[in-house]
Formats: sequence, structure tokens, C-alpha cells
Amino acid sequence: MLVPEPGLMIWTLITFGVAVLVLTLLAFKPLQKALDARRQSIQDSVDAAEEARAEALRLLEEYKATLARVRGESDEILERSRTTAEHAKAEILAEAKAQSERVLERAHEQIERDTRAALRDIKGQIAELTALATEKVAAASLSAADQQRLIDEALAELDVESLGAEGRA
Amino acid sequence: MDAEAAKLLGAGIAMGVGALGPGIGLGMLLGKAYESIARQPEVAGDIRTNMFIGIGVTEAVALYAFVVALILIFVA
Amino acid sequence: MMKRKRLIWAFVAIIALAAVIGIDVLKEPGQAEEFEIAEEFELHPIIELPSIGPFDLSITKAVVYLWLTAAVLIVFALLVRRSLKRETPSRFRVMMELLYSLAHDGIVGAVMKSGRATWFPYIASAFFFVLTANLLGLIPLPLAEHNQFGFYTATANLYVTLALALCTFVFTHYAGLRQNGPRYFVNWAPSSAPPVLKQLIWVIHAVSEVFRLVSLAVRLFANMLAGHAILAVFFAMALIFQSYLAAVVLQGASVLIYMFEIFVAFIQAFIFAILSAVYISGALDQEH
Repeated sequence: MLVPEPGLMIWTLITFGVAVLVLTLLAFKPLQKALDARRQSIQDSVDAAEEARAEALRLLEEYKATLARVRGESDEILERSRTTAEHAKAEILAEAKAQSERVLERAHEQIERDTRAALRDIKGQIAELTALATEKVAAASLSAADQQRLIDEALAELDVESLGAEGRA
Repeated sequence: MDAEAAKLLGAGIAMGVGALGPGIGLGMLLGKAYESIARQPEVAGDIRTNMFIGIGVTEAVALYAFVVALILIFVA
Repeated sequence: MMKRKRLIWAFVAIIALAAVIGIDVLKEPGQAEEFEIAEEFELHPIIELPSIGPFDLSITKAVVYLWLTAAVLIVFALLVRRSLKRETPSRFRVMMELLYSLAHDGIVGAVMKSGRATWFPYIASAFFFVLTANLLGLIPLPLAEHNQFGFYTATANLYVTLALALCTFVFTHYAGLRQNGPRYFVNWAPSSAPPVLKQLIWVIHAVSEVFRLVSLAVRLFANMLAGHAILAVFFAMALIFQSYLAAVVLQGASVLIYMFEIFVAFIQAFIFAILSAVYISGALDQEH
């Protein structure tokens, strides 16, 4: 078991030397290269992700700021439009009221004018009729029956006109 | 006692006594190492590496006894 | 489906192997009683080759185991190279990368401060070479006497481990000399020590350097030899007791020992590599 076997040492050195060469050239170097490449790619993607995150955060901040500004603005606009609308409403209402009052006024004036014109007209007609009746009475010798008829006629005529005039006044 | 019996006896005693010291040493070594790992789990890797170095060095003593026993049996 | 098929084939192969071994053991029961454990570790030339000086270059089973180790390493290296061509890592490649990073970060990275890139190939190769040799020793191969199946491993031979340790020894001093120049030898003793003590420390250090070489070789050799001897003892005891009950119990125990031996095979390769790294690192970064 413990017999000296120096020849075996030579064989060991040869095989071990071959193993070192083969492993170094075929396994270790390519493996190290592959591992380095993977580490590099992972590092790169981590860096890229970090960058993207920072970018996203920056954008988010920006959007938040913009959103706050826009919200304030929109509130302001809404407020302004509301006040404007209220103003407009009040104005329109006032305008409408004024207009309706004006129309009413004008209508009243018209009626007054019409009434006055109608009265004037009636008065003229009454005078004419009276004159006509007087003429008729004066022109013919009137019988009692005629006289009565004429008076009734005149009265009937007058009655309608005056009633209409009175109702309007 | 003839020479053959003395050889075998000597080999046995060499192995047995030779294993005593390293046995105690390995027990202390491993105990301390695990204690350290329990105390500081974050450096467990370093401790384990050094522990293996220690095991290798300590164990060698028992193996010298083993070799002496072999020499007693087969060579002497 | 493929996985199950593969598993079944592996199972069939194990059964067939067990049957072959069983027939091998059973065919000459009379011979097996003469079971000499030491014989398992004796080397007989398979092919006689002329010796060069004191070096007998005959092919023994240890040499065949060494060749097998180198062959397995070359096959794995080729497989790794092939698997690297694929874009997505395969399971095999991930496993190889784990082993690689164990050698790269767990051994060299954990121990060495400088010269990592220079010495990594040697230390990692030593790790994988010893690991493969140790593990190959746990596979029964028909290389024992009369072509019987038997356990043997190249690293259970002192001269194989001595050659490996000699590599570390030589590389240690080469690395120290290259890094520190002739001052490397002066630095063996601390410069602050008083004159006579300094020389004494230097001598002690020189002796310890030689002992490192011996201990590195003997540790690996003795571990693998002891492991295989224990396995052999358990197998032999089953034959010696001539009882089926004892055989079953001892076989069960030997399975446990076998599993422990797998662990030891790994640990010893790890220790060999890490101590090589420690020695080389110590020569590179000397304390003054």
C-alpha cells in the first residue's frame, strides 16, 4: 500500500496538466465571459430600469403639478362663468321686466288715445245727428206719430253709440 | 508477545490515541464556528470557509496517526 | 414523460449493475472468504511499460482512474462549451455555473486578496480534478483483481496526492518569488524579531513549508484511503460473518457510509483547493 511508485507521480502530473489546460481553455474562460456578459446585461437593465423609474417619477411630479394648476384654473373659470351667468341672468330679467313694463305702458297709452279718439268721434256724430234730426223736424211738418218715431230713432241711434262710448271710457 | 502482535497493538493504540486530540479539537472548532454563525449569520460564508480550513488542519493530525498505524501494520 | 422514461432507464441500469456485481460475487463463493483489504489498494501493472530511471510508467489501475478523471473533466468542459452557445441557460449550465462560482467566489474569492485572476485556473482545476477523482472512486468499476468490480480512487494513492501537493508547493514559491523577488525568502521571518530568534523562526518556517506539502498530500490520501477501507471492511464483514441477516444490516450501514463518503469526497476537494489558495495567497501577500 505504501510502496513507492514515482511513475504514478509522472502520470498524475501529465493528466493533471491536461485537465488544467482543458478546463481553463474550454470551461473557465468561456464561463467567465458568459457570466460577465450576463452580469453586464443585468447591470445595464437595472440601470435602464432605474433611469426609467426616475423619468417616470419626474413625469408624475410634472403631471401632478400640471393637474393641480389646471384644476385651480378650471375652478376659477367655473367661478367666473357662474358669476357672469348670474350677472347676465339678472340683466336679462331686468331688461325683460323693463320691456314688459314699457309694452304695458304703451298699451295703456294706446287705449287712452283710442278712447279719446272714439269719444271725440261720438261727440261729433251726436252733434251731426242732432243737426240732422233738427233739420228733419224743421223740414217736414211732422205729425205726432212722426215726431215720436223720429225721436225714438234718434234715441236708439244715440243710445248704442253713447253706450259704446261710455263702456270704453 | 511476538512482533506481529505488538505491531497490531501499536497500530490500534496509535489510531485510537491519535484520534482523541483531533476529535476534541474538531468538536471545539465546530462548536465555536456554529456559535459564531448563530451570533453573526451575515458573515456565515466567511466563517464557514475558515471553518473548513480549520477542519482540514485539525483533521490532518488524526490522519497522521492513521498513516502511522498503516506504516506499523504494512511497512514496519 | 421524457424525465420519467429517463428515470426508469437509470433504475434499470442500477438493477442490472447490481445483478452483475451480485453474480460476480456469488460465482466463486469459496474465494471471497479470503478478503484482504490491503489488496484492494495494491497496484499491478495492466500494461507493462519500460521505466525511465526510477519512474515506472506502467499502466496500473490508478493510472486508468487518472485518465478517467481527465476524460470526465474534458467531457464536462466540452458540454459546458456547447451549452454556452445556447441563448437561454439550460439546467446543466446553471449547475455548472453554480460549481464555477463556488470555486470562483467560495474558494479563490474568499481567500485570496491579490492575484486572483492569475491563480484561479490552477486552484479551480485542482478543485475539480480532486473532486472528480474522489467521486469516481465511489463508482464500482471492473478494474479490481480478475476484472472484478471494486472501489478504488486515484486519490487513495499517496503518490498521486503527493504529485498534486507538489504542484501547489512549487506554485506557492513561484508565486512568492515572482511577486516579492528574492525578498520572498527573507520575509519568511518577521523583520522585527531579534537576530538569533529571527534565524530560528526562519528555520521553523522552512520546515513548516515542507510539512505543508506533506500534510496536503497525506490529508487527501488518508481521507480517501480510510473511507474506502471502511467501505471495504463493511463489505468484507458481510462475507466473513456468512449470515444473511448480518449482510443486510451491514449493507444498510454501508449505504450510510457511502453517503458520508460522497460528502467527504466533496469536502476534501474543497479543503485541498482552499488550502492551496491559502498557501499561494500567503506567499503573494507576505507579512513583513
